[in-house]
Amino acid sequence: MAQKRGFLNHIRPRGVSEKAMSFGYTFCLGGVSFLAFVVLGFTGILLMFHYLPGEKSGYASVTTLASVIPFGGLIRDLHFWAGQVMVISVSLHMVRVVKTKSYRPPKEWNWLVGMSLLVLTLVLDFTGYLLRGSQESGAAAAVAVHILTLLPGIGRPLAQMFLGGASAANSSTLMVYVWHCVALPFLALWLQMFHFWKIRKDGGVRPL
Amino acid sequence: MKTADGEGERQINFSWPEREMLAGLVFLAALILVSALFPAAVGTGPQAPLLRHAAAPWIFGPIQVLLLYVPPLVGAWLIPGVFAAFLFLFPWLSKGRGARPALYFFAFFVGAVLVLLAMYVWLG
Repeated sequence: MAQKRGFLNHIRPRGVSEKAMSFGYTFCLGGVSFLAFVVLGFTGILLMFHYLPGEKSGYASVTTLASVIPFGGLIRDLHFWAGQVMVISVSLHMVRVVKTKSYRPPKEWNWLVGMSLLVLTLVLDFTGYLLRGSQESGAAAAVAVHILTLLPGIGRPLAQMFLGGASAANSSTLMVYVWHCVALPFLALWLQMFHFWKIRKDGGVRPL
Repeated sequence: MKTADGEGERQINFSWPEREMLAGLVFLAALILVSALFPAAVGTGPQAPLLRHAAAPWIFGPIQVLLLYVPPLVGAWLIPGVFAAFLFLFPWLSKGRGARPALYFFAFFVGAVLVLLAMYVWLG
């Protein structure tokens, strides 16, 4: 019973069911997603040493990172590809959970946490795209602002709150930067910790 | 009785080198290889001539394709909103007699996303 207590023991028990470790059951998609998240956090911190948000500085610092800073290009590439892997692995993880019916009680509340993490992953990927500060990012920011302002009443305040006046001319605003580097990753990390803890609480990853 | 961590079932006790760690190292090696072979694009600079067409990031490709064919409120809010609400409520919608329809609708959702992604790639 000792291993039932404590957060760390839920994340890392001394032993787990052999079925829970079966590759053919989970395809390691949750683990791959978390590992990609760790890579994103690590490379993201390194990128923050050189990246400067802003109308002119955003794109300039990205090109500097990609071509001037030693290993800056590789770190940025790792950050980009880990992001793409995370979007794909989280999406496939959702399909796997449906296939194995792992959303059934008592796991339905953890499904909600997982869905929230999927949405967060997409938003993180999008805000990262905006931070490139390129013309393509500016177009994406303009479309996002337009879509948000379609909502009557709350649309414009929402656009201001989440994108901080991002426009076609400037997608890498300080607001987008803070959402991408601080608020959203910490929320995602907290939800992931809860997600893993709840998996053990609800019976682990094994056929019901 | 089987318990949360599968007590009563065959257990794997973690010991060095762990299978998880080895799998993680393989994943990291593959990620570094892909990153070295396929650099991430930096896009078109603000000082360059203005682009006439810009594609959305691929994750929002399906919504961009929808916006080509339906009004913005429908393509950007109504359709994605219905799918999102369905996905969030899936465990409750798939209870009892709703199980089979919910699974069919989920399959329809996955298929629709894949078709729209293919159209996004096709349309460039």
